[in-house]
Amino acid sequence: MSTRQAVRRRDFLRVSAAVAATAPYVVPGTALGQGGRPAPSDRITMGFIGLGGMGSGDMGGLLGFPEVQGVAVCDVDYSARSRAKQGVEGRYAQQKASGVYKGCDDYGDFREVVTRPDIDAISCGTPDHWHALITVTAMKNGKDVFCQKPETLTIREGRIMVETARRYGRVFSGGSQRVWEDYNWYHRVMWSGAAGKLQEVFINIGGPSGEMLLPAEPVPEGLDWDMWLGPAPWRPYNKGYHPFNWRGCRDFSGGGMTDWGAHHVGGGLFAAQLHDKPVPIEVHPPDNKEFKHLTYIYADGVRLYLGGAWDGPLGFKGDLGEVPERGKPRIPPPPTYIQGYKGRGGILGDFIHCVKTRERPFRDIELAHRTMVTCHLANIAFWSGRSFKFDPVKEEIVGDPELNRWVDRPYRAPWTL
Amino acid sequence: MRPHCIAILALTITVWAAPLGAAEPEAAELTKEFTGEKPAPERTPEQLEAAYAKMLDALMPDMGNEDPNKRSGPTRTIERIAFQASRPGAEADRAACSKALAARLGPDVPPLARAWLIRMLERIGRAEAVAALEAALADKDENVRESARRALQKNSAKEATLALIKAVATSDTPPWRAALLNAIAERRDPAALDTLVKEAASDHDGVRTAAVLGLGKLGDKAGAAPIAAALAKGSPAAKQAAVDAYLMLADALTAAGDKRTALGLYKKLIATDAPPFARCGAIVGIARAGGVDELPAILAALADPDATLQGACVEALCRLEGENATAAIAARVEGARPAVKLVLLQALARRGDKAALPAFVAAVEDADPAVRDQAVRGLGILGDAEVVPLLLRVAAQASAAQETARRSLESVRADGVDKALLAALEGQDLKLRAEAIRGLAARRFAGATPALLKAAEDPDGGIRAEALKALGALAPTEAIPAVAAVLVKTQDDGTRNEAKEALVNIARRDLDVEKRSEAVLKALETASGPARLSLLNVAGRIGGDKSLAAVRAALKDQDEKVKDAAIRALAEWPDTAAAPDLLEIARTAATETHQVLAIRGYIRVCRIQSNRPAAETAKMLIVGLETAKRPDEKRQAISGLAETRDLTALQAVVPCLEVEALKEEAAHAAVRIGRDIWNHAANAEAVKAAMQKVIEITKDDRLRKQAQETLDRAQQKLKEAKPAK
Repeated sequence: MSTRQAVRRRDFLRVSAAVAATAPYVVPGTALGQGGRPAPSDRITMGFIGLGGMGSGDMGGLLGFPEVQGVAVCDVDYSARSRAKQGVEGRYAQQKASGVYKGCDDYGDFREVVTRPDIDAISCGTPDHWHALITVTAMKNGKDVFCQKPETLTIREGRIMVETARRYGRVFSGGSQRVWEDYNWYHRVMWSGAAGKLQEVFINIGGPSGEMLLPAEPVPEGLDWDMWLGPAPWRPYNKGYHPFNWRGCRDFSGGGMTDWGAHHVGGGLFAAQLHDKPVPIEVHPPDNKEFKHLTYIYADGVRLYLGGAWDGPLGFKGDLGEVPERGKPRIPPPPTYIQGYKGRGGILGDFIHCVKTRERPFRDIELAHRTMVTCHLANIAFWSGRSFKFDPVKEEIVGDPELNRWVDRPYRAPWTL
Repeated sequence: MRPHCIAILALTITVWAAPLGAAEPEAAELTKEFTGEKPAPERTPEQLEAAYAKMLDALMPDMGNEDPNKRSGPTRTIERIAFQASRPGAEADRAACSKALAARLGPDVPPLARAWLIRMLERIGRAEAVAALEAALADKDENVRESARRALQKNSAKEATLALIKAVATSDTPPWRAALLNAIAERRDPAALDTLVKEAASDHDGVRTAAVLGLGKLGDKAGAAPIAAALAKGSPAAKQAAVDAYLMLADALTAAGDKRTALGLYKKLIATDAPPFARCGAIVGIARAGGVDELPAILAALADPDATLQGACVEALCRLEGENATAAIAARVEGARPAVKLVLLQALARRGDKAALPAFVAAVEDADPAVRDQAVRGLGILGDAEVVPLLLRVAAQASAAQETARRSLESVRADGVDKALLAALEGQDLKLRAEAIRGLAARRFAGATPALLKAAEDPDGGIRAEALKALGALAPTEAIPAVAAVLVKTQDDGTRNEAKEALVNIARRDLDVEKRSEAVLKALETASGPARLSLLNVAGRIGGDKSLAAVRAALKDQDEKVKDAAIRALAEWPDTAAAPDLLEIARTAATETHQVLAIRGYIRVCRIQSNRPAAETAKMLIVGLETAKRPDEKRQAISGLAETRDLTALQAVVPCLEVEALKEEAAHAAVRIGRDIWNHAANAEAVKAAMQKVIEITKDDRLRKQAQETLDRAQQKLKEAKPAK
């Protein structure tokens, strides 16, 4: 049977042409499923790749949706994927009269997951340096993607992720739940026009990553270190990298700048309604002279500072005043209408909703990418110690060819994006 | 010496000495200059090279040290030097630095050092570094070779492409050849076209894949034929890569304006037995390259039952450009099969072009429920004031689209929508009026307040209830007197309750506690019967000193119902201002009901987050624990103590471990407090004893494990605190 004729699990038409005229397309799960769960053809089968803290948390959250069926777990660390497999199967076993369920496969190589024809979507919770490769490969294989933040390690990765999502018509949600949920007060106040014409944005945030040299240690049993490194330059294993503490190392992450930047910068840009506008055109590291904080300048003169927020992580100044007002209690949020999540159940529910309706999720990869570009530009400024200009359309650093090399980093063989 | 020779000699010495007047500084000082810490004097290119060489030579000895602590300093310094050297306007520095780095890649330099220097060349090297990098491609150390490959990939000089091409020709293993080709591919250098075309014919999957991806990235239409030949070759992964390359090439041609060639490529892909994801990319590409003329091709693709293709068709339809593209898509809705209609409507909604609105209006009456739902959803995105009656009608019917219609009424953004809802509020149909009120509430349109106040006195109870709910959601605080008047006036219990809730919700929007209670208390002065009881409840929930005074006065009222309402009001107080009153009532009330209400209220207010020190909160809750008579309330107090990171809280909870009705709650509380306070030496002993007790009595395995962990930590803390012998 050719691939064109193969039966698909999630087949929107679901029935042959003879019955198509009368058969409904959304059959309530209560009619066909068991115990209120959607029928198999209405379910979204998922694979979960990267099962550390955030990855396993996302897995647990997604499995809580009745229409999601977890069928695969993947991690380069055997103990993590073994635990995850037990978790998935234990969860489903509770729903079966026999108390046994063995339908979740475990893998050490993500390629085996993303090429499974029965998987509709993946959730990616690996360290940052793997996000682009896994998600792009998944999309090329027809999967929708939920990816933890920071979504990218470099500016060019993000653009490729956006292009791939658009080229293949995939739903791709970035992973910052805080952008909508934590800063909602700022969004409603700013979108109501309380500050007037925007002049300055202040965002408190962590610092950049850097070089992290650690001595070689024996690789723990069950860990595929070469695969953990993946596209990053080779270095020997040390427990200071894995598990969990890799974020300070530039080869794997942008540090607090991107980790919390995904949240704070994402939230700040959204509140200021800069999230879908071109990114800044000038970046200046702090110099104790003109620039007290790292400073971005937008094409229309708006300045964004990394630091200086006076009450909470964000602050805004416009021609009508400040938000929040210094020394005053916060006003109740005005009833400003803003389109947030489209589905119910937080950012994960938004993703699931969009997988079903093919809408773009709240943290669509284009918006997540723009947040990340802003953060990466800050890192480049900090690492180099110099100011530069940026072309937001070409996504290139202008007039500084060597610094422009930081827009992308070459992958270690055999990996390529 | 003849005078002219002396002059020549003097001139030579002068030239040689300029601009440096003295000998070259030591390496440490040079480093300060070349990392930008201090100004650097002008140097000739030769002097620059010598200076960089001197600096690097001083840093090199530890660069190859296996101990990263020793390697770290010089590593970071070299990186700072490289950043500084590569700044704009300092080409001579960059070149000198690059040359100095490139000159230190010989076998006498340890591999770790070589690899790091090459990483610096990856960032700053140009033509002057190519020869050394090319040589490093043959290094014995795998990491050095790989680093050199990446450095050439990023090198801006054309010579780097040639070096990589040469290396491909002499590469000894297919994986290395593929890696070199990947580097060439990333450079997107037309000079590599012939090499890529040649390697695209390779029988080795990895080599062929790297080459075809390179052709795709290069975007030259000469790559089309070799990529096409690779579509049917090799493993599934290799075929997929070929498809991806094909699409990349077509996309590049589209972007470059050669849409005709691109369109041919996309259509060729559709015509082959390519996997679904390939057809996804082709469909989207056809839309971008062909525009509205290709609408039939996209619609034909919708006949494919594959769900992934449906998503691609939505994307394709969103991208379709050309005159009247939206109208052309909209015209296809009527008469299409339901699944096709869904896709068309989804795309039209995403396109955001209001020209599609008539198609949505018509589709609201479709026979298929999913289509109707999608149509209603689309009205919320594209609609205007004229669709309000239609949305209200759908919202008023119990159907699958009802909730969608309500959300669409909330989201539809256009002039006149709020006005249209207000007009509907004045209609005759009760269901439509109710939905109009819901819509106004969801939209938080404060301008609806007068109309809603009028509706709050409607003859119909349902309309009154909805209006009061809406007022609670959107009315400004200036509306409080009017809502209070509704509460006082009504004889209907349901309406009175709704008015009560509305008052609380509106009042809470005013941060000025005393101001927000004014109108309520004014109404309370003259209210009687059920209205008085309701207003007391409101006063209790919005708080403030004046409200407290009024409620205290009501405690002394002759009417038992008023007294009861006053106690219940205190029990719902928003802060600890009512705590003393509640404690007193808990101790002295004549009925158990009032005792329980009061102690529960007391414990609740003690638990409200504040800036109060933990010890003070613990003290208050301990009083609550002692005052409570029933296990239920004692457990609530224990639960409050669990949130209090203080030793006194732990000490209060521990005796409860001996009480059967309280021990499980006390065990949880003890563990929670213990986990927060074990780290202070003064607490460790008490934590240890408490955890031991918990382990002894609890049946909860998870809790026992947590208690053991905390016990271990406390014991460790005690050990550390003992003075050394």
